[in-house]
Amino acid sequence: MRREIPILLVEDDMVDVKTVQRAFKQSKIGNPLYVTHNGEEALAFLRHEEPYSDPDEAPRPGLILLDLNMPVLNGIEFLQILKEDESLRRIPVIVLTTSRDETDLVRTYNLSVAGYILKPVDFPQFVDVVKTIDLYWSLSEMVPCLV
Amino acid sequence: MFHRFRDPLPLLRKYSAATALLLSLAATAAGWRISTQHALSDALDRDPAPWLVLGFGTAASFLLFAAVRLQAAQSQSAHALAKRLSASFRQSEDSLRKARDELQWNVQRRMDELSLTNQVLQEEIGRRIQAEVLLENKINQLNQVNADLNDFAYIVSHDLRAPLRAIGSLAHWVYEDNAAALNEEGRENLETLSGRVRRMDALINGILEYSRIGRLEPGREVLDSHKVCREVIESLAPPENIAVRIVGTLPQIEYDRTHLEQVLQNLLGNAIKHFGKPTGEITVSATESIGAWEFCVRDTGVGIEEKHFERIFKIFQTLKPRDQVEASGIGLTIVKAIVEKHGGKVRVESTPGQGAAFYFTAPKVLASQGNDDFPTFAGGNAELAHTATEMN
Repeated sequence: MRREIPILLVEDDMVDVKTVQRAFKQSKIGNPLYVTHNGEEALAFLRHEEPYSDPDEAPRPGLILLDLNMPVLNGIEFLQILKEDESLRRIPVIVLTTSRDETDLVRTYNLSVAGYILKPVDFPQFVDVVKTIDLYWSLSEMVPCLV
Repeated sequence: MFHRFRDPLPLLRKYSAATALLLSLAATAAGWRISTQHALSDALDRDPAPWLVLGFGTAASFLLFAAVRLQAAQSQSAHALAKRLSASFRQSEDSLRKARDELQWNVQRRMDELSLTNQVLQEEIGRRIQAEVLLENKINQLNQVNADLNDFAYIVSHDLRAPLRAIGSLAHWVYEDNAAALNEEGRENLETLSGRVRRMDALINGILEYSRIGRLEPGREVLDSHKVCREVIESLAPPENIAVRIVGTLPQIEYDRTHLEQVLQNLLGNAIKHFGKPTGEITVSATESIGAWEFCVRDTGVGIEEKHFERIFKIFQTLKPRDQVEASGIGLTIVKAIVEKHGGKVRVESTPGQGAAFYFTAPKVLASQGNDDFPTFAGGNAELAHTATEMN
């Protein structure tokens, strides 16, 4: 993954946020990681609305890591809005969840997610997952004009 | 009005004697008058006519008299007959009326009875409809409770996983960040903590899997169980001291692929895990019975005492402490749930010290479905299949 590409993590659980941050550090992934805590905040971030009105503070991400079970606006609701938005729909989204529910799997793939990853219980396993994501997005071409 | 023109006969009948007398008197008088005008003998000699008239008159009178009497007698008997007839007629009319009335009464009574029966029946139907509605409500309630329970199991286990994962991660970080500062006991405790987290995760996964069997309709496809079994054995990677093999050829069955894999995995996994002897073998076989195949997973391990046969299929029941053998106690519960979901049965046979055999039945492939006719997805997986094609 190109080092300058920002990544947006949408996750409400503090330990899960820490897990991703720590796994990034251990996998030596230097991409800037931005965190929002639910779908509504994430939309505000992407649309440069309060409190993310400064575009420098909220750059357009090249990849979104999305949890599904969140308060206010959950992952699926967020995806529905995102994929309706002509300017945001091309940003790849990877679902990072504990939900093994087939219906979640079907619904998110129907909403064109780039991947669906179950959060492993073991931290070392999670580090492997993050490394794999990094490797994949180093190989996969991204839409160059991210505006 | 008609009775004014009375039959003249009865009058004649009534006065027949008087009429005959009058007629004979008239005839005699006429004869007498004729005879007085002439000397009788002369008259007789000269003219016999008056005598003839007299004689005829008398004869006619008597004839008339006789005729009238006869007529009267006849008339009387006819009258009597008519009277008798009318009497018997009246009588039969009476009995007919009586019969008719009786019949009417009977019909009425039957009608009353019928309407009563009808009413009872109507009430009965009403009661039955009510009972049916009640039953349906109860079934709906039961289904709802069942669905709620499944959802509950699902949600609870799902929500339990998040903090559990956090505990696991935090323990790991403490260990990682302070490996040098920790003493032997501290490291051991943190390792045990991680082990317990994994065990709890296995339990939660078990509940999730179990609740999923109840929640989703299983898919049905024609499967080569021999191939599936071989794959499962391969994935289990049994230790070298235990030989796992298939006896004969396993049949084609109509089953949910994941379910069949899970059943074989759990039964074979259990046989390996609880073998309890340095060496031995595990065999998988299938025999044909009416309408079903009976699969058998047999091991030559330590076996199970009969008193435990029921307990081992119950959720979270293990026969050994979990620290000795890492087991969730949900494997056989899942096997039973899956097999029963597909209309089969599970049973166990064992001779302690010699081994155990777990049997389960699976429905045969219907004749209409041949080998070439592989419905790859069905039921609960249909939506997934749809998505898969959409993705392509």
